[in-house]
Amino acid sequence: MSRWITNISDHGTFVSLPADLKISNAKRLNEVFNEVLKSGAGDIFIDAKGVYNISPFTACWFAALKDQLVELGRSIRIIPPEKEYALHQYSNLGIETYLKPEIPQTIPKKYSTFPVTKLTEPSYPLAGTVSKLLTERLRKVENFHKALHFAIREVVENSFEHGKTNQCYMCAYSVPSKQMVRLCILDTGIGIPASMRANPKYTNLDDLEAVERASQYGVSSKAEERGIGLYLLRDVAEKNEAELTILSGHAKIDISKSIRRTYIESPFSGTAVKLTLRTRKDFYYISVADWEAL
Amino acid sequence: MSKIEPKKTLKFKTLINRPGSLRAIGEIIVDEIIEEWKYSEVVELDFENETVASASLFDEIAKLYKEYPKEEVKQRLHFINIDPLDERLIIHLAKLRLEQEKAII
Repeated sequence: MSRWITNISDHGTFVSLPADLKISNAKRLNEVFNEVLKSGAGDIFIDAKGVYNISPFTACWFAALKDQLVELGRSIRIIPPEKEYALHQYSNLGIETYLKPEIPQTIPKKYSTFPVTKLTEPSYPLAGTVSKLLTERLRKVENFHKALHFAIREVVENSFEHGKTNQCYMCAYSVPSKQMVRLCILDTGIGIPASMRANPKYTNLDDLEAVERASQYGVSSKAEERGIGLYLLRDVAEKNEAELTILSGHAKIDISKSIRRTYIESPFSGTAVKLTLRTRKDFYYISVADWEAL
Repeated sequence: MSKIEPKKTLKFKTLINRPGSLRAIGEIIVDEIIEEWKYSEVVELDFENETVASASLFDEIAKLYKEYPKEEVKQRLHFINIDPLDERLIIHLAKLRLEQEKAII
């Protein structure tokens, strides 16, 4: 039994969460997620008192966990964080309202937030609406809004097309004082490694190789030549020194100016993409080109 | 035999308003463009100032530059009221498709 599950009884399963709930702690969060789902009958009581850091990834993580438990006929109860910032994010990112829909969502004025939301289809207008919301209070930087629009569009489309799922979760916020947007899109589909290995060309890839190859040009889970969205997103992240994290199966890949690959013992059954973008004067989106150059 | 019209305009907002992934919608748009080329010298795709920002949809259009003589596609397919960054994305994807073809040859 995981050290995070403190007690399993007829009354339910008691879980004490690690203090850091960011994607950087994916190993522990995956462990909790997988074990809670396997932990038998009864309600789940989650103690988040000691949590000090909550991110859009955490919000999506809670929402996905809740929905999977509800599908199993179980419910989830949470003791909210005690630390002021974590409690603020717990409410601001919509976790509180997602878990208890009777609690109205309140968003402080200093933030532009897209609270955690379940998407049941890759809604066409969504990417434009969310990118506009997140950038309206940031300084106007050429290309930034479009790059964000593109990122949301591609990741949501990929979840539905390659993840073979009919739902995914999105949460995002921007902080004008830091000129930053942070977002997460998470699905509980088959994950990138399984999706890639469905292509006869890539049956032998391990999870880390599969996730990295998925972000290269023309590499896709489909037999035809596809696989372009993640490649362009990676290009945007690398050239702007943004932070792009892809978590799927046993793999976690962090892409910024350089790339870091981490093998995660406890697999994530789905895909989470986390992106942090900062406005900068020379923000790169797509190389300038005209028709003459073609 | 039907008469060849000088120009036919396809409205993007009408084409996008259907279910399916953006790649699947891109395939449908390309089929419509190819069909319209039978009856019109030039097909104009009017984006009506909509930002699309989709690599998968535009990649389907980009494939046209590989599958047909590119100069002919440049002459017979025009984009109007298009977001400049979307146009840049189409050019970028078309270039990647052409480079990919060269690499295969």
